[in-house]
Amino acid sequence: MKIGKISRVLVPIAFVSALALSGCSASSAGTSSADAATSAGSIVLSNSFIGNAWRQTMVDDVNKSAAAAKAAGQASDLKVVNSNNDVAEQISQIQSLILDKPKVILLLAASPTALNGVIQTACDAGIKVVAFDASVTAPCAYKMAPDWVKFGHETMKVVADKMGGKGNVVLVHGVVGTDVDLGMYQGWNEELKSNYPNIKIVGEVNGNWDDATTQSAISGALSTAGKVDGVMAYVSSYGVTQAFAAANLPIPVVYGSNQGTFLKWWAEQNKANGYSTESAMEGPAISQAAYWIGVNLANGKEFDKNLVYPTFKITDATVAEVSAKTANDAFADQTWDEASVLKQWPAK
Amino acid sequence: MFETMGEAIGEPGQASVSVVNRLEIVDVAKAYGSTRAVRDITVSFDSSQISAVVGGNGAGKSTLMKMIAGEVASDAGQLLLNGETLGTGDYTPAKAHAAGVRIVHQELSLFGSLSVAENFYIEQGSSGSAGFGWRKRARRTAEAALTEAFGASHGILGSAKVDALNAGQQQMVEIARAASSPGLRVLILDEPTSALGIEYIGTLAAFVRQLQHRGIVVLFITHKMSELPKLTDRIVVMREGNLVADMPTVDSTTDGLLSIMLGGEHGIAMRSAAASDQRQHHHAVDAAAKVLVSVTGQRSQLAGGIAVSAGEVIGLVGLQDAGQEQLLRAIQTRSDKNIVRAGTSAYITGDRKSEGIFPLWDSESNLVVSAVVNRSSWIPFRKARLHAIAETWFSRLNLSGVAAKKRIVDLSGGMQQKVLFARGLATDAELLLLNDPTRGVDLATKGDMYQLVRDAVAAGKGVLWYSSEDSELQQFDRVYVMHDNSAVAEFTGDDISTESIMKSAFASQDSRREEAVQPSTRQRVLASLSALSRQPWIFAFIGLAIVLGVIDSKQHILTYFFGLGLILTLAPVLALAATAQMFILSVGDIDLGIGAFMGLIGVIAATSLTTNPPLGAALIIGAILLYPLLAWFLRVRQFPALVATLAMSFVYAGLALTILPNVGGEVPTWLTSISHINTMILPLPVWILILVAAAGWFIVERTALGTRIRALGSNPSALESSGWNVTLVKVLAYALAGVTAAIAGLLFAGIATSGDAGAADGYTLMSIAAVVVGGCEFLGGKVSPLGVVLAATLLSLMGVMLGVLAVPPLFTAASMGVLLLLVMGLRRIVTQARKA
Amino acid sequence: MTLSPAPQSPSPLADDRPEPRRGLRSVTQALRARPWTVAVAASILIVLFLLPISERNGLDLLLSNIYLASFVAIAGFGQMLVVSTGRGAIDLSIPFTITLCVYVATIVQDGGDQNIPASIGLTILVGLLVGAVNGFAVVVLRVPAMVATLAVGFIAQSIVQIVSSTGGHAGSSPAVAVAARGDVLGIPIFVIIAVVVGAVIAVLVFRTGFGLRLVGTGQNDSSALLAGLRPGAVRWTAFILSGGLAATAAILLGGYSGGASLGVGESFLISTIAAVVLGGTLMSGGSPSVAGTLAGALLLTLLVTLTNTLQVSTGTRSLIEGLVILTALGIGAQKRR
Repeated sequence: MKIGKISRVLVPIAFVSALALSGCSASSAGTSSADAATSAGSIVLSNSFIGNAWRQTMVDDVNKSAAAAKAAGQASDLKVVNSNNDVAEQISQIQSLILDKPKVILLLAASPTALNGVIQTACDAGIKVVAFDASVTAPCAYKMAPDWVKFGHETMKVVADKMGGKGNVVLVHGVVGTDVDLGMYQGWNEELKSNYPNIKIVGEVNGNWDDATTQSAISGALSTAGKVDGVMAYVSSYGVTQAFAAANLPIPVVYGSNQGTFLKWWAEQNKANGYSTESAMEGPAISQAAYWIGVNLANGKEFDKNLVYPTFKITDATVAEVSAKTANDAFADQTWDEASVLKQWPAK
Repeated sequence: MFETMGEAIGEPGQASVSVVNRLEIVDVAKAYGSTRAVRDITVSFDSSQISAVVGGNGAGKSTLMKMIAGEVASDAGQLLLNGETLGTGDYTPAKAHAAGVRIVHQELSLFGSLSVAENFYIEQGSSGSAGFGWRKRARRTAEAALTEAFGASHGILGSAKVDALNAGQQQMVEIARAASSPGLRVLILDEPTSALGIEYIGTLAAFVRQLQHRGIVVLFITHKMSELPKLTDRIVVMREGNLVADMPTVDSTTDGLLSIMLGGEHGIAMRSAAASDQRQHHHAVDAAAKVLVSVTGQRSQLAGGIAVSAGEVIGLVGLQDAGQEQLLRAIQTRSDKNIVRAGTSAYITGDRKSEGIFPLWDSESNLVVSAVVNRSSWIPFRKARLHAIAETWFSRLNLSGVAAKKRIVDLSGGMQQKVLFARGLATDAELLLLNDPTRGVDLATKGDMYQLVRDAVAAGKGVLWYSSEDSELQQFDRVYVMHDNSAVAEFTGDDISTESIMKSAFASQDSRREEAVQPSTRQRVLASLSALSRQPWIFAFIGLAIVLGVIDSKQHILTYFFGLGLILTLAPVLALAATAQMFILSVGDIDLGIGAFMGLIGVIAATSLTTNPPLGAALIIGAILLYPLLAWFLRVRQFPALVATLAMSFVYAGLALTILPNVGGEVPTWLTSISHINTMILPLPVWILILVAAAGWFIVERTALGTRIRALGSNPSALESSGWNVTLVKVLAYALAGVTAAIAGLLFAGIATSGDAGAADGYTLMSIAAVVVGGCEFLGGKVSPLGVVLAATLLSLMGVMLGVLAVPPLFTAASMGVLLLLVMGLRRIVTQARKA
Repeated sequence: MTLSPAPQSPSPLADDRPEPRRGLRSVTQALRARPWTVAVAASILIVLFLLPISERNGLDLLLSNIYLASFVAIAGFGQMLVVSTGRGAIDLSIPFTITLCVYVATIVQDGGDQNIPASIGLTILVGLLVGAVNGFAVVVLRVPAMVATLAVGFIAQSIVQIVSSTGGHAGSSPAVAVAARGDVLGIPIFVIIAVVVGAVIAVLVFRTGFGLRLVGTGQNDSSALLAGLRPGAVRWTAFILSGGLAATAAILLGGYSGGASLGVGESFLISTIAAVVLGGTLMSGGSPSVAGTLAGALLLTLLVTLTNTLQVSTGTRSLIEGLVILTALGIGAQKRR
C-alpha cells in the first residue's frame, strides 16, 4: 500500500514542521488576546475538586465576594477552574491559567507538593499565589489554613471530656494522606496520649469526609466493635449518627459538623434528651477570606506568608438558633468582607 | 468417477531413484480417557511416494498427524525420522520444527495483522535471523516461496497484510510458508484444497510432486476421493484408530475405499446416498411455492436476481471466495436492503470454530439454543422439554447420548458439524442457509447430512447451499455461479456440471481483466484519501488539529514558544503511559495498574533515589521487574489480565503508601531539572513526544521482537506452534511496558517535584482512552504508536481547551465524556461510509 | 465422565456435578467445581478469624456484613451481566449512575412518604436511561465498553454536580429509612431484597431465552449473530439492566443514608468488579455466576471489616486487597494444558 506508507511518513513530518515553523517565528514575550475575562489584573481560582457540598458552597461563596468586589469597582471578573481531584489535570490547568497573566491565583491544591513546580513558575511570572484550605509546601506561596494539629488537640479534648475521660473511641479519617487529615489525626493522638490514658482507640475508619462513606465505614466497624463511647469525626458527623441509628445502638458522643443535616439532628436531640457535643469547622467561606487577601495583594499590599484561619464553632447553646437558619446541605459559617479580613490579618 | 480437470499431472506411482527421508511410526497409541483414538499403529512413510491417510469419523487420522507434528503427546510407541527418535513425552511443535516436520492444518494459523513476509519470518522460529535487513530478506523469501509453489501469477505481495487476503490466498501463503521452511523433511497437509481455488489445485499437485522429488515426505489427509489420483501415490486407510489398509493409489477405487473405511455393510447405505451418479431430485418446483428470499441489486448480474422458493435446493458455486459466504450471512443477518427475506431462516456453517459453536457449552445446549431463543426471550423455559427436543435430534443424527453431555469442543469435527446441522433444523426455519457444511467431514457424516437436507426439502423447506465440492453438485435443482460477489450465471438440472460452472466463472474473470482502465486523477485522489482514512491514527490527528486550532484562536499558542511548551508539559507523561499501555495491548492484554505503578516509581524517586541513589535505582529496577513477573504469571496460570492488573494496582498502591505514607519526599534535582531544559526550534515536550512516537514505532513495526509481539496479539497458538517461546515474548512485551511506564513515572515525579502515591492514578484510565482514541484495537493486537502519541497529546489538551472556551466548571466532566464519544462516533461513521 | 476439568459455565441443560472422589485432588476439584466455592470458603475463613477478636457475637457479625454486602451485590449483578457479554465489556459508569439515582430518589421523596412509588419509578427510569446510552455507545458507535462507559460516567458526574449544586440535599422518605432498619424473622429487609433480586437475575440468566442469548454472545459473538441470538440487542439490554440494577441499589442506599451525598457511589466501581471477579464470573464473558457475585460481595465486605478491625495502615490494607484478589484468581484458574 504505497500510498499509505508515504502518508504515514509525510503527514507527521508536515505536522511537526508546521509546529517548528510557527515556533521559530515566536517571540518569547507572547501576546494574549484582549479578552475581557482574561485581561491583566484579574483573579483566578484553581480548585482541585468540585464533587462535594463543601466545595460547591466554597465556590458559591467566593463568587458572591467577587460580585461584590466587581460592583464596587475593586476587581474585574473571577474565573473559576475545577479539576477532578487529578494532580496532572490541575497542573495543566494552572499552566493554562498562567498564560492568561492574572494578578493572583487562588489555589485549592490537589496535592501539597506536586504543584510546587508549577507554583514556582507562576511566582516567577510575577503572579501571587494564595493557597487556602489545602496547604502547599512551595515557599513562594501564601498559605491560609487552620492550624490542624492544634485543632485536633482542641476538638479531641471536647469529646474526651464529655466521655468522662474514659471509654472507647473511634476515629474517622477524612481523605487519607491530605495534610488536613494528617494534622488533625496527629492532634487527636497526641491529646489522647498525653492527657487521657484511660481512653482506648477501638477503631479507625476512612470516612472521606462524606456522609455515605462514613456511614458504611462505621457500620462495618460496628460489626466487630464492642461498646463505643465516643466518635471523633470531621464534616461527616451525620453519617456517623446514621450508622449507629441503623444498628439500633445508642448514639455516643460524636464531634459535630456544621452541616445543616447534623445541626438539625443535634438541635432535636439536645432539646429532647440533652444530647451534648460541640462542632467546629473550617467553613467554605475561607474562599472569601482568601479572595480579599488576593484583591489586596493585587493592589500592592503585602501580608505574612502564613495566614492562620479561625474555625467557626457552634455549641449546645447556639445550636438551636444556628440550625434554624441553615439549610440541609449548607454549612453554618462566618462570612468575610474586606474589612473583617484586614482586621484578622493586618497588612504589613 | 475420478473426474480430473485435465491431464493427471506428474506420474503417479513412479518411485524416485533414492529415498532421502523416512518417517517411521512404531506402535504409537493415544487414548483420551476411555476413548482410544489411535491404537498401536505401525507404519512408515518415505519420500519415494506421496501418501494420503483417509478414514471416516473418529478414525484417528488427525490425531496421528498431530502426534507426528508434536502437537499431541503420544501415550506409547516411537516416532523415528531417518532412524532418530523424534521424542516422546516431551516432543513439542518447536522440536518438530527443528527436526524438519511441518503440518498445515485445516484451520489456518496465520497472523492476520502481520504482513505475509512477517508471517514467513515468524514461521522460521528461533532459527530465523533478525539481523539488519531482515525485513527485506523475509519479503524476498515469501515471494519466492509463493512463486515456487503456485507459479508466478499468484499475485500476492510480501508486504500485504494477511487480513486483507481472501481465504484462498491465505491458504496459499500457509502452504508456501510451511513448504519453504529450511530443513524441511516431512510435510503434512490436512485438507489443503478445502479453501484453495480450483485453479490452483493443479499447481499444488505439481508443487508437492516437486517436493517429493526433492526428498521430502509428503502426507495428505483428505476426504476428497476425486483428488486422490491427482495428488497421491499411496493410500493408507484408518478406521477406529487402527490401520486397516495400505495400497497404491492406482489399485484403489472409491467404492473399495468406502467399504474399507466403513467396514462393510454400513457402507452400502452410505454409498448409495453419497456416491450416486444420478441426480437426486427430478421434481419440478411448484410454481406457487413461496419465494423465501430474493436478492437483487449488486449481488446479481442476472435478470431475475437470485431467488429461492420453498421445496428447492439451490447451490451457490463458483471459485473460492467469490462472495458465496457473504451472501449467506447477509441473508441471515438481514444486513442488505437488496435482500428480501420473506420468512424464517437458519444458518448452518462449516466454519465451526469461528462462527458455529459455543465452546463452553455441551453439545446438547449447542443444539437447542437457536430453537429456544426463537420462542421467547423472557419467559422461563422448562428443561425437560428441551431435553426432549435434543434427544429427538440426537437419535436422528446417530449421535450417542454420551455425546450429548460432553462439551462440544471434545467432540470430533464431524460430530460437531452434525450438532450444528441439527441446531439449524431444530428451529424449523423455512429457509436453510448452508455454508459449506460438509467441509472436512467424513463421508459417512456427509451422507447423513445429505439425507437431512432431502428430508427438510421434502417437508417444504427451501435450501440455499454454498458448496465447494464437485460431488455435491448432484444435490442441487439449480445453481448460481458467483463471481466477485455477484451471481453471473444460472444453471438448471442437467446443465449443472463442473465444466459449465468453471467456464462461466473464468469467463467473467477474463472479461473483467480486459476492462482494467487507468484510474483518473479524481480516482487517485479518492484512493489516497481512502488510504489515509484507513490509518488508525487519523482521528487522533484530526482531533488534535481541531483542539490546537481552538486553543490557538483564543491564546495564539502556536506562535508562543513558551506557552506551547507550558500547556504541553504533561503531554509526554501521558504519551509514555499510553505507549506502555500499547505494549500491553499489543499482546492482547490490558493494564489497570499503570497509574498506581507510576505513583510507586514516583515515591521511590522522592525517597531512596535522593537519599541513597544506588538503593533507589535498585528499587526502581525491582519494581520494573514486577511487570515481566506478572506476565509470567498470566501465562502460566492463565489469569485474566484485566483483573490481575487491577489487583496489582492495589499492590503497587500498598507498596507506595508503605514507603511513603504521607505526601512529601524530595525528588533528586537532576530529575526535576529535566523539564527545565531549554531547547531549540520546538519546545522540549514536543521533542519528547516526537522521540516517544519514533521509538514506539520503531520497536513495534521494525524490530523482530515487535513483530513477534504483534504476532502474539494476533494468534497466540500459532506463534507457539511455530516454535517460539510465547511466554518469553509476552514477558519481553511486559518488560518494555514496565520500562516505559517507569520512565513516565519518573518524568511525572520530576514535574511534580515530590512523591505522592496516588497522584498518578488518573493515568490508568487516561492511557486506555488515549490508546483507544489513537486507533489501537483491543482484540487482535493491532496497535498504532503514532496514533497513541497523537491521542495522548489530544487528551492532555482537552482540559486546556475547555478552559479556553470558558466552559462552566460544572460541565467539565461532561465535556470530556462527550468529546470522547464524539471522536469515537466520528470514527465509526467514517468506517461505515468507507464500507458503503 | 468429562475428559477435561469441570467447565466454568454449566450448560443450561446440564444437571449433575462431576462424581465425587476422595483425597486432596477432590478438594481442589470441588473448589473448582462451582464458581462461588472460593469466595464462600474465603468468607468463612475470615469470619472464623474475626470471631475471637470481635466484641460482637458471630451472628451479629455475619448479619451486619451481609447487610452491607447487599448493596454491592445488587449493583454487582449489573456488572456481572455486562461482563458476561464478552469482548472485554465492563461498566465503569456504575458509581456515577448510583450517585445520580440516589439524588433523583431523595429529591422526589423530599423527606415524605407520599411520593415513594413515583420516586422508585423515576429512579429506575433514570438508571435504565443511563444504561441505554451506554448500550448505544457500545453497540451502535462501536466504542469499546471501557471507554464508552467511562465517557457516559463523566457525563452523569456532571449532571450530578449540577443537580446537587442547585437543589441539594433532600431527605429520604421515612418509610424507606424504616425499611432500611427493619427485618423479617431476624433477616434484614434489604438482604431479602438483594436475595430476591439475585433469584430473579438467576432465573433470567439460566432459564430464559435472554439468558441463553447472553451467555452465548459472551462465548462467541459470530456464532451468536448467525445463530439468531441477536448479540447487539443482548449487549444493549445488558447495559440497560445494569443501569436499572444500579438504580435499585441507589434506592436502597438512599434509605440507608437518609439522604444523598456526592460520594455515595464512589466505592462501587472497584467493589462491583471485585465482587464479580471474586465470585468466579469469567471476565472474558460467557460464564456468569449469580451465587458467586453474592458470595464475592460478602467476601469483599468481610475483607474491609477485617482490615478495619485489625487497624492496619492504608498501605497494608491496599496490599491485602490486591493479594486476596490474586489468590482468588490463582485458586480458580486452570493450569495451562
